[in-house]
Amino acid sequence: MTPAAPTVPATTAAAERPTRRRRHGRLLARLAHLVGVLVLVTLAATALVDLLPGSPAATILGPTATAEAIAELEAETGYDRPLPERYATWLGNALTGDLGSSVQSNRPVLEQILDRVPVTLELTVLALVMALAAAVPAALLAAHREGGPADRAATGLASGLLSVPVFVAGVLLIYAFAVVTGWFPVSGWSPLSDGLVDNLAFAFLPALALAIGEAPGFYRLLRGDLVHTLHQDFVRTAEVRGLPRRYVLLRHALRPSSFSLLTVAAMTFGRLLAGSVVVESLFALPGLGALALQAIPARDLPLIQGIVALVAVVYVVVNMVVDAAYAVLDPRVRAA
Amino acid sequence: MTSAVRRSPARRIAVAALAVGTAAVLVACGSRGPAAVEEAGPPQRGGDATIVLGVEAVRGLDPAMLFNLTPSGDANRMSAIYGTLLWADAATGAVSPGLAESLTPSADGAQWTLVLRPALTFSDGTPLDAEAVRFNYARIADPATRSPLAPLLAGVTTTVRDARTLQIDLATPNFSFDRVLATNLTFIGSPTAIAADPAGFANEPVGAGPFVLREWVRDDHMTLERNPTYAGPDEPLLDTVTFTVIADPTQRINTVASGQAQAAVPGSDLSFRDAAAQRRLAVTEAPAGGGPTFLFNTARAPFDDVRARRAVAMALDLADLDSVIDPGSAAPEGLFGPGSPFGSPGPLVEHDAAGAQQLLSQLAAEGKPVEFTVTLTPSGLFKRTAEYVQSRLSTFRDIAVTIDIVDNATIDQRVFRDRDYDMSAQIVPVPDPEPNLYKLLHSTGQTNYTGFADPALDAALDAARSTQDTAAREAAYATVQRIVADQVPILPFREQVAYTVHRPELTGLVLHGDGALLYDRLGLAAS
Repeated sequence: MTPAAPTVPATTAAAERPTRRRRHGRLLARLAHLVGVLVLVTLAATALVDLLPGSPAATILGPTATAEAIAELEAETGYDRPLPERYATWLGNALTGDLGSSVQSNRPVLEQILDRVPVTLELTVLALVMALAAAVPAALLAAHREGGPADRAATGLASGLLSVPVFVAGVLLIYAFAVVTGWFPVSGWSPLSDGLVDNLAFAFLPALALAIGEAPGFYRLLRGDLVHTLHQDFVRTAEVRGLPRRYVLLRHALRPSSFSLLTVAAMTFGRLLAGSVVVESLFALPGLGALALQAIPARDLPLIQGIVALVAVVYVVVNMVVDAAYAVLDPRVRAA
Repeated sequence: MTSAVRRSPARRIAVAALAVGTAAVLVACGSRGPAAVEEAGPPQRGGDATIVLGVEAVRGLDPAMLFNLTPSGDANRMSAIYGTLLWADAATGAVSPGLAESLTPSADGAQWTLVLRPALTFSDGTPLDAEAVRFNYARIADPATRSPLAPLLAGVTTTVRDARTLQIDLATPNFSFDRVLATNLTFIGSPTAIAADPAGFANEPVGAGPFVLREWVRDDHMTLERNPTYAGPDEPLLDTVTFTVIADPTQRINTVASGQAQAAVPGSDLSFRDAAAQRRLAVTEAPAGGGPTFLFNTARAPFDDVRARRAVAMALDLADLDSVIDPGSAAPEGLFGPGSPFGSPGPLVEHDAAGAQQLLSQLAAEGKPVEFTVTLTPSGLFKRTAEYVQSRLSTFRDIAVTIDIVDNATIDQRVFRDRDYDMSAQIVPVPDPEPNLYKLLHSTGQTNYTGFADPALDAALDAARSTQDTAAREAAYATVQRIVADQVPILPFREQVAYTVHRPELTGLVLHGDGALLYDRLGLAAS
């Protein structure tokens, strides 16, 4: 006798349908949000460049170009057309994967951006890992004995580091670890394809400079949330049950305390990916920040639009990932 | 045999901790160390050199499309890849042969004969002959190319006399055409490569210089290898030359000091010479005339009135200004520089605070108070200059200064193209008055951004370029200096020194143009 196929109770199936619909609806809303953000941000980038003095054609032809020559080149390249028309053309091409060519170098924008992404991505990931690796244990230690010597020392150090701008941290690190001791290269980049050791040697100091800027914020956020959580009833209950303090900290307190940290870390990821300009410039790294720094004064509109579109995509996708991570961390979010 | 000192981990950590601790103090106090540079031995064939520059050659390296080449950007790369037909000494402006054997004028200076060295070839095998030079110049002159260099060849005709000889007929006689060619028309690209891909040539340049492009990773490095077919005046010694880009000038010096690079072009601030000396690095420099120069817009108020220009020039103590904006630098010696046979040494306009106040009060009494905006780029030197000018002039009555710091594209439009400014500045090296001073001061000059037009000044500038007689040139340029000192359309405010910082073992550094190196001279001394 064949066992009967398990049947889903009618009430459960009926309950799942609206949940699935809700999930699909949420996903569609997210995608619509992504498209909306992309359109608005790239349109704003185009408009902002329009508001700046100087045009791509004028930049190409140099300071001695005549007004006629500039007008001629603008007509040829389409920069004299109205903003909506130019934007619609760019958007149409972008949808087919063609982000245009840089007005300065004449190289495809997508190719230039893809050349730079690995550098900035690695720098961002390394900086985040370093910052979290320092901040999380320090916050756990500080919250474990709130007001104790470790807490006071870590909080004091974090306050001090918070007031150190990233370029100052970078200069000091270079002086100490590159100029004086010669342990790390002063500047430059070695791609991962040329060997991991060289790559890490070049990436370490810039990533550390960025991490020094981020870790204190992470520490303060997590410490505050941990202290708050440790005063909750369920934590006290766990301690009364005789669970070791370390277990309570790691298994009961850390997870519900990490929401703010997760959000801020994710936003930091997006920000660093788009805005490590100072560190990239100081350490001469061929990343996205350096590319943006080059494109804006040159009024390289296609390049600016391409970088802005990438950054917007990263931000929105990171937001979506954070939302998904909330659901993993907290069952209440899943049920909502 | 090499030896190394091994340190224990604890000692290493202590050294690093000490270094971190002292770094802030040293950076903050600007502490200075000893400055003894080791002697280098004779150069040998072989070796690799890395040269650190400040900006990427974003627009590529097409000689027809570039204007105002800078040593920290494109000029050094061009010099290595294309070599030079002729080159002008960065200090004196004296012209010497490179890939060209000679360039000689006719008796009236209207016709020039260019003779190339024998057996010159581009790295793609195309001969660098008279036809190749003609092709390059015709391309620059062609309006369809939209070359910024086209005005230099307006009315010029070129005729190929034989494989190595090109006849150049000018629209008007100019005995300084060799300087024009050496500073602006000296780089020649392969006609075959240009014809094959005119738009792509900038990114894949092919020249007949001492080095050939092997790899170019934008904003990171450009590696060149020795050109085995180079037939210039010297034989290149180095195996490879690598250009890297570091935006921060201090970092450029640090990179050389750490041994990661052999030379760096620090940019316009002269204070980095001291920084180099502290790190026991050598500095090769070329002091010239001109330099960072104030431009007064003479076409509109307040500087359409010569008294306003004089008042500002007299109010500023340039020695004090330079000690503030660029410590270790000096005020310019006249218009032409300390080593020039032209003009007279000393300040172009004497500092006279009382005289300046008198002029300002006079203008205010006439209802013409001197209120103006200084429009400058955000470079450190120019920002400090703008702040100094505002600060010092605020101690005078009847004058008001506003600062407007804008990016290069905005300066190009507002100052250089639309002339919508009151006072600005740019760096104008003048190793010889030709061609830069002519372009800046002549009423028809390509870079006459001040709008200043004075028939007597035009006549003096024209007289100077229409003679080979040294005494006649000296007389003409004495007139030029006298008129500029009297009318003040421009005011050089800091000495001009092109320089390159390098490790002592890098030898053969010769600066040409605005400060680029000659790459067939560079070599590494035997260790």
